[in-house]
Amino acid sequence: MKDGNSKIRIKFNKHGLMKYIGHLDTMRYFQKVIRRSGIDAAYSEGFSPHQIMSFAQPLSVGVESNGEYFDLEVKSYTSASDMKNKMNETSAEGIEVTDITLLPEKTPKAMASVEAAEYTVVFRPGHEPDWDISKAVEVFNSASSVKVVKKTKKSEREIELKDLVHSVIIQEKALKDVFPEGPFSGDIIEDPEKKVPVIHTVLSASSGDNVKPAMLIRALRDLMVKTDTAKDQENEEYPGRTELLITREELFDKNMKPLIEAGSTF
Amino acid sequence: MKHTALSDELLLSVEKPERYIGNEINAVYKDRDSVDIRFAICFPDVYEIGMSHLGIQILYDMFNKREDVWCERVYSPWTDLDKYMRDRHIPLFTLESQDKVKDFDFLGITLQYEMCYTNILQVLDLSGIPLCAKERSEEDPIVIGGGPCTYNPEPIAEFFDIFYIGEGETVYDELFSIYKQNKDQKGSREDFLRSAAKIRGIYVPSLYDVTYNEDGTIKSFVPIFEDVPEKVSKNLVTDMDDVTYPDKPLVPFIQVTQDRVVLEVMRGCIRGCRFCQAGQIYRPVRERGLDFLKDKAKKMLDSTGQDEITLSSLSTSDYSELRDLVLFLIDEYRDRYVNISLPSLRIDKFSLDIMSRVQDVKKSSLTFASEAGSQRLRNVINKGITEEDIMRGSAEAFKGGWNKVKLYFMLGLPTETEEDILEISHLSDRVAMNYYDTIPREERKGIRVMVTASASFFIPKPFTAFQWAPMNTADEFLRKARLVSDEFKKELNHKSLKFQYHENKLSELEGVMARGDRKLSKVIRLAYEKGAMYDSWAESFKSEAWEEAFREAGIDKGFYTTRERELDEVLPWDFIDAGVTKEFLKREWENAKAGIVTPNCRDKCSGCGAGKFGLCY
Repeated sequence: MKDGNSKIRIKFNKHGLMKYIGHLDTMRYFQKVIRRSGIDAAYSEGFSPHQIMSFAQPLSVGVESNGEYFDLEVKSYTSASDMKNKMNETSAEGIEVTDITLLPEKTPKAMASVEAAEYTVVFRPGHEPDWDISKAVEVFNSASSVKVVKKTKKSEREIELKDLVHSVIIQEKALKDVFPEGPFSGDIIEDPEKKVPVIHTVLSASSGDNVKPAMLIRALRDLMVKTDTAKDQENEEYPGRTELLITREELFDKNMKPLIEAGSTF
Repeated sequence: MKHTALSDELLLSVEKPERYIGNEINAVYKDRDSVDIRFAICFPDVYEIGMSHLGIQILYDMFNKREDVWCERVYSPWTDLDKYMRDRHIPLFTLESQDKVKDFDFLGITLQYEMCYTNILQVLDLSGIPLCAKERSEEDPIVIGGGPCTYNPEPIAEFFDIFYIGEGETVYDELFSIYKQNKDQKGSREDFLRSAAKIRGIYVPSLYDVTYNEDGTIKSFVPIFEDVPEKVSKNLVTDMDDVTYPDKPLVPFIQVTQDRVVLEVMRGCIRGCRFCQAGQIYRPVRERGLDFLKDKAKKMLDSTGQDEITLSSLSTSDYSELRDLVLFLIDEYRDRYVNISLPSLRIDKFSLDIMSRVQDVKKSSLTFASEAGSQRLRNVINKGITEEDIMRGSAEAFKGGWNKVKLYFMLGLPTETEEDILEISHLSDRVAMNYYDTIPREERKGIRVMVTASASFFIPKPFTAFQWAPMNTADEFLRKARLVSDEFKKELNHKSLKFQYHENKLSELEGVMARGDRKLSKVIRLAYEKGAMYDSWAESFKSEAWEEAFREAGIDKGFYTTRERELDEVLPWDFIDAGVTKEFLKREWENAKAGIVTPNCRDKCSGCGAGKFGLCY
């Protein structure tokens, strides 16, 4: 970091239509917000200078969030509330900056700080599980080992899910409370009183061991439903991003504290 | 949360859902019940292309400045969503309100290239609007076309209620007030079209009757009512500093083709390249003042947060205050890290100096639009650049640190010989040689110069000197391209040279449409029904569908492409007054054949006819 520059950490949420905006486009979006709001960002040297910006764990398209973060190097700053207001004034509906802190000089980058993420997962109305998910959570929590195969483009490896799931609990909630503002376009709630499962989980989110919520849900299903291999292949992505409605609630550091501690301001 | 026409599940199943949700910075939202006119403005191609178009940004802003109008955008759904929409009978919607296009008052479609014609049918079809204007009811929107292709709208005349000919900033207010008046008086669709036809630049194809000679050429082209004008005169802006221009252009979330603020410095072009339609139809040249441009640059950069601004025009080097404008932008925005992009600059000392200040010399390449390989042929097409210009410019560039050069050529130009086209390869080789002659070995640091020559295929366009000229067939194009390609392999510096060429069948089809008549609507419709769509995208171009469509319609492509037209033939676009006169174009066609060069507008007036607007030098 250049002498005289400072680093701030910005927390924002992402809801509604903005959940369709991918990670790279969200970065590009914020670069423009920063220019529009007149925040005195520092730029890299060279022929194509860019803002010195570092995002924490990328968020998948379709996932909402109450806890996204990025770090930004600035040449000067005003106050957290002033900068927050300026950014929100020029924001698109669905994204809101909620907190800004000034980082101590030697704080690691947002990305490197992330250890875990908390998620809320519900099933799209009409896609509720036909297997006993409460039982599955019980089995999972009392098991000493749950192994799953994690596939990437390059490799396939077996991982111990128990090491990577910090907690998983399940709640039953009425649909009207799950979707207080109504369901997403195209979804139909026939009986608002109907109780559906709501999963709260904290998963490892470090860059080496990121677990997506869908992986946990599929592991839970596999504990309950014995399927033959052929069908397994077919079900590999089910339930997936069109059946699960996911909200990321928070990102935690190695001490399991939120990346911005509540109340810290300048 | 704003409502979406598509279900959440569907949005998460298609590629880039951001194309369909609106909500962009500077998108305009109004209360649908508080406006009188709802206008859906459409670019019939994918979002990333459509959002890059300046014309729509201008009209979107202009319409929405009116309190009684809400203008919203619609683009062609990409092929994945297209299929879903057909399977599930989902009607096409606009991005802002997400309401059905069918419920709008107007559907305005911009016509930027001929190869979008099947996408127009896609948009109408998905909207549930009858494809043919005459089948539409009082409930359907008025379908209006604008943009360069309206200078020969005949191949798609059947699909449009109205064409707006000329620059969009001029007569929409008139059109809207007639529309409102007609609505108030409970007038019919027909009543509206009949009165609209009296507005300058408004062409209502259904009010004209076309008859044909036995050989297929046009016998007569006449209005069916006495109060409908025989000639439709184009609209143009008379004062470029006293005309609407957006302060707050839309800012897309996804990366689009032109992802920057666009500053249009002037309209028209002083060069009279004989193949160039834009150079004729946008005459006369009209510049914007420095103050206007400085003000717009600031407002647009502030309101968008874009980090790049581009100076746009047909030939930005000819803008008389270019130096001052560029120096101002560099000065004003250097500290804000705004990148300045300068397309279509002629390569000389000045432009190289400017470019070296605004871009990374090592990474960028320089472009010379030579268009033809030989000087003889460059004289025929009236392309003012000489080999000396190219050699001097490239030598300067090599000294300045550039080592990538692009050369643009056309194949199939009128009077072209084999000698002319082989010169494409030889000239490219001489440019490469120029590098080795200019830069001593010890300064090259092992870097080889890269000369990329690209050839497109020449397509004669209406309102150019070549509007009567025969065009090559797709096979001829390919033969010529291969000939050039083989020649490249023989060159001394072949390792520093690259040659590429355009899709020949696509060019042939564009040639058919460019100078086509009303008989072609049948072919377009048949091709669309056979699955043709996104024709301008090489990967989705269905050559077979088109071949079948021509066969079924009994139409010979050669009639439109290879046939040399007689000078007294009634051309499908003769009813349009574009400013330049037929007499001028005939003179230019003769000059072309004789290899006589015509000076540019600033050096000497050639009496093209556009002077009647009283705006020339």
